[in-house]
Amino acid sequence: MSTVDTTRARRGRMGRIGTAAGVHAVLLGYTLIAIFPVLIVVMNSFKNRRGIFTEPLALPGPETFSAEGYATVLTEGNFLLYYGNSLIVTVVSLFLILLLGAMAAHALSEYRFKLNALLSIYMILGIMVPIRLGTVAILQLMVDLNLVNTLISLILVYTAQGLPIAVFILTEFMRTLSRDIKDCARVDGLSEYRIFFEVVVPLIRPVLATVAVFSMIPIWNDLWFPLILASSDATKTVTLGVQQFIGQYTVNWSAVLASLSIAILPVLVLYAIFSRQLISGITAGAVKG
Amino acid sequence: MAQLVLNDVRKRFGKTEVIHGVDLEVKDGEFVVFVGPSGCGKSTLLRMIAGLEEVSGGDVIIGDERMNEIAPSDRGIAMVFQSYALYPHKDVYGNMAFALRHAGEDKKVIDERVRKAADILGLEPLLKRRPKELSGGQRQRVAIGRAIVRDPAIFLFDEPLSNLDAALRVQMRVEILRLHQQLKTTMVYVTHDQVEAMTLADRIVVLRDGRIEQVGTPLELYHHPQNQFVAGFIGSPKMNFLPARSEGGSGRVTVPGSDPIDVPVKGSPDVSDLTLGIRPEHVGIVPPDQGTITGEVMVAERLGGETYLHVDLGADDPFVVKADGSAAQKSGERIGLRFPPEALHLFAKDGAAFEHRERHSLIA
Repeated sequence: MSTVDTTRARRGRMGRIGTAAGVHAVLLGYTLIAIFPVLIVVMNSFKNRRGIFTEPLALPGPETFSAEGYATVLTEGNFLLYYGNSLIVTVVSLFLILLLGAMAAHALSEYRFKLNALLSIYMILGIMVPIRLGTVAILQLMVDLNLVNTLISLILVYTAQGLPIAVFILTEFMRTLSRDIKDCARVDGLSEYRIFFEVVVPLIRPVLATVAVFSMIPIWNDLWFPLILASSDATKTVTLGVQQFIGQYTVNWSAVLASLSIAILPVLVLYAIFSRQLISGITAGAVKG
Repeated sequence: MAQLVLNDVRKRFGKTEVIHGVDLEVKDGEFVVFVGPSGCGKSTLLRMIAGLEEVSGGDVIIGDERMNEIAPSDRGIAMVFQSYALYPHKDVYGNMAFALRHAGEDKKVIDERVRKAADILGLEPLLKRRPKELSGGQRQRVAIGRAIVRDPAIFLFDEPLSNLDAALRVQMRVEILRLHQQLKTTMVYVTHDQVEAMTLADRIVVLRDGRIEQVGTPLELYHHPQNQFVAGFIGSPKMNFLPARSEGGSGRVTVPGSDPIDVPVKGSPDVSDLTLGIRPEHVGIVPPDQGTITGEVMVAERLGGETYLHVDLGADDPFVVKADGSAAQKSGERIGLRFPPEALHLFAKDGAAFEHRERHSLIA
């Protein structure tokens, strides 16, 4: 009897290990595929032109090593300015998306009012219709508002682009928050704004971080709207700025790859900041359980 | 310290009315328990007193002031919630001090009051802990402490013990009772558990479908329920009900298969559709030939100290008799049952109880 049980237990354990190994193999494979192009970019950014073309897959060696790409990027052109532009646009848009999105979500999940359901559906429509379809109208609007070639135009567009999904996700999450804790704050005499900032926001921090991470990437990487709305030299973003090294006849690959490598950095930093918030558990113990 | 008056209070959600005009007076220092099945509106009523739910009609008066449009924080109330509702990002001290800090109270006063409340509830060693590091009972104690710190005129409890396990519930129940004796503050307490209601309340308010069924002391409700709903709701196991027929008025009735039974009620219920009620603990067990009615024991539930006999009297529901723990009756055995007249209740077809001729000796 006991031998049968242990055999079965062992088989079960082996099975579990097998499954885990399978899962990890798939994940590892996916990781390699995802990291490979980034690795190539970073590797080749440290090579000279010959090194890039003769052996694109080799690590930079004593003969091929060169930082000329970085030198070009940091001295020629206004790369630091573009970098700053990207950073301003991304951070400000992200801040607006999170602030306005969370406030809208709070209103939709907390208050009973007419048009509540209609507004929610309106937001979902915003997820389904890509904002680029409205490019022409947006351009006309920005021209009329005298906002062409300003960072504000980009910030406005990205905020609009990020809001629907942010509102949708945050609303769904906020519906699961305990009503008691907000009522308790009301009995304690907090205004509705302070309830939002002092009680609700601390509770939704992990979700805010999630929304921040996936709102951030498309904004940072976007080429379309900078090209259309803010292509002047003073307002170029990194993705647009890189184009200056891509000439009609020659492409300065070292510089392109160097600027791309640098462009990865802030995303990594922001991700590191947000992912610390992603570790939830802060709400554990707030309510029963 | 304050009294609470509800004056024809109503609540509508859209077109549906869920509270249909409640009138109630809670005296200063009284412990009143709202009890009723889920969905009866007891929590809604409490939230209306707190100001968390708008009042659709009538007046909510605390002290001498009409509070309908006053914000919750200005009503002089403190509320303890079922889910504790502690702020997870603040420690115990921070949770208890929060309302006072927000009100701009002096730091020294805050500290004094928090420490005093912590002392009452035995929370001093936990002041620096976060809510997630506390057990359920400790969390509920912090929630109560947070209410005490505000020094309210009225405490409101919304099913505060429902999330605790049975042993802890008994312990916290005693603690809340002790707290009331110590603070002598008006308390309104909502629960669906009639044992909590019986043990805690000065007066119980039984609610059903947004209406008050009866208000009275626990023993009043137990001995003199005004209708069949209250009779069935108060007491555990619940009261047995048997269909009865009047035999010439003046309280003499028969139930199917029984000798005539005299129920000492006022008036002369001379209708056929009556219901006879008797609590399991009041039924006497006698040999079959001496009983008012006889039946077969279907199940004997032995709890050690007592035994519940489920007896088949031919009705749909089994008739429950509470017997001694050492009762020898076994399932399949025929037994006779005797009903002491003063423990009998008689209800009309609409559920209204016929009043007893004499009040129970414990009730003035």
